[in-house]
Amino acid sequence: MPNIKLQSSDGEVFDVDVDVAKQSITIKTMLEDLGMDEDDDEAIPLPNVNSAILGKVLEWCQFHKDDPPPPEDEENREKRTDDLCGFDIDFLKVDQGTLFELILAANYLDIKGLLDASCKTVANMIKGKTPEEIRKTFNIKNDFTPAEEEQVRKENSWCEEK
Amino acid sequence: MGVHASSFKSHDRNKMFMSKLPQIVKNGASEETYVASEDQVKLSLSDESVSLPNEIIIVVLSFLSIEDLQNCARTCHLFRDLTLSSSLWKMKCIREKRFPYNTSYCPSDWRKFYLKQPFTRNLIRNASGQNDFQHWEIVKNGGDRFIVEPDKGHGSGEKPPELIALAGGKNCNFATSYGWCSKRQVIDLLSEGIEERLLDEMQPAFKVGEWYAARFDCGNIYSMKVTLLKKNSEKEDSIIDFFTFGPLKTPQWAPSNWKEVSHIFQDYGPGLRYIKFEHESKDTQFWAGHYGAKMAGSYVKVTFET
Repeated sequence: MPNIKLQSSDGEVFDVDVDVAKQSITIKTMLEDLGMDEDDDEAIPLPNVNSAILGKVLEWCQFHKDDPPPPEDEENREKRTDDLCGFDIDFLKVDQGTLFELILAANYLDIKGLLDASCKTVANMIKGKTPEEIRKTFNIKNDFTPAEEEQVRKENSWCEEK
Repeated sequence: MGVHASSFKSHDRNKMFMSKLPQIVKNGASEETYVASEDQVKLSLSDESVSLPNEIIIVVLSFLSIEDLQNCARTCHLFRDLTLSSSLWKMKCIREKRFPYNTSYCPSDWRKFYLKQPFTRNLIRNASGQNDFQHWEIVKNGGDRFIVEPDKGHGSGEKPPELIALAGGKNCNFATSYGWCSKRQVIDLLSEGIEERLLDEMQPAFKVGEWYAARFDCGNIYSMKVTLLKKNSEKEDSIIDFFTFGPLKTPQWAPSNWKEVSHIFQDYGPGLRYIKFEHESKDTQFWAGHYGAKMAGSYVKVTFET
């Protein structure tokens, strides 16, 4: 299988199977649009991903390389947050800084599966928590005045028709 | 996604990457300092902070339930604003299949559409009498009057699971008597959450119907009618289209199983605002009690399976 080289922001070069790397739509488009050859020796620079995160991302891509391609439309994307596969659950058991950096990398590299899995993991950290607990989890400053807080409470009493 | 200023130096091949720069922030990291907007949620770590752009926070929020979103909205201004963003609700509507993805039409208020979910629920309320006669207008109440039979339906067959599901798992039904029993329900489509433009231009198809059954030991006459209306009025000129079933005479000792009657309205033209659902029955033996037809699981639903 042909390989390509990817260079992280801190200069580390990763030698990667093309099919693994192509799960990144950004890289796939690059290869196609710029007509880059697989035997091109030059490394593709990824100025927004450091080596630690790129290593993780490629580990994820390696595990998921035989997954069916994600559906083109939104229709078949899962809404449930508890449907992460065992690999993803363990893979995303990282500190919040790393998790957020993985999300940013997945977004930048356009890897839908990883973006969804990592966003679901953050969503799971919010589930069932009170506003105060959510603030604590994400270090959010409460910038509401007591009057505003009351206002939000009122305007947010959304109810769903069943 | 906004493009962020950067002091990054790169050769030509990097240019296409620059147009897709994510909003990564590494405070204190030498070369890679991109500008992040002030309102982003920051996660503080010991020596750096990583912030997620609003577009990504919206993806995170889209996996949450209404209850969790309400709690998020109460944490800070940014979260409050994001929970009201139309892209969040559009994402939820389409992913959770409350609105079809393959259409050029769209509701003007995605949040309202998500909450009202008029395309994915039965627009008839209290379909089988699980809430007694609530939402139904009784037109005729002859003999020993309409009743709700709380379970199974005396003297009739077992209900199919899909019928029981229509009543939220309850096994109840309406039953009629020896004088005419008729009732109706008028659905106000706008207040149920389907706005004018969707009704007039998209003209979603409506599948309407219900289940009915006879007692094993008594015959009955049963009919149902569904009318599409421009106005909630009895006047002839407000009728767009209608479907009738019956009057159907079921003889004594006929099978007592539950049968479904259904119809699909489509291409009905602009102007639809109300749907009137009505049904009636009485028994043919003039027996005291409730020997007329039983009805359950009345429905009016938007369908895309035409």
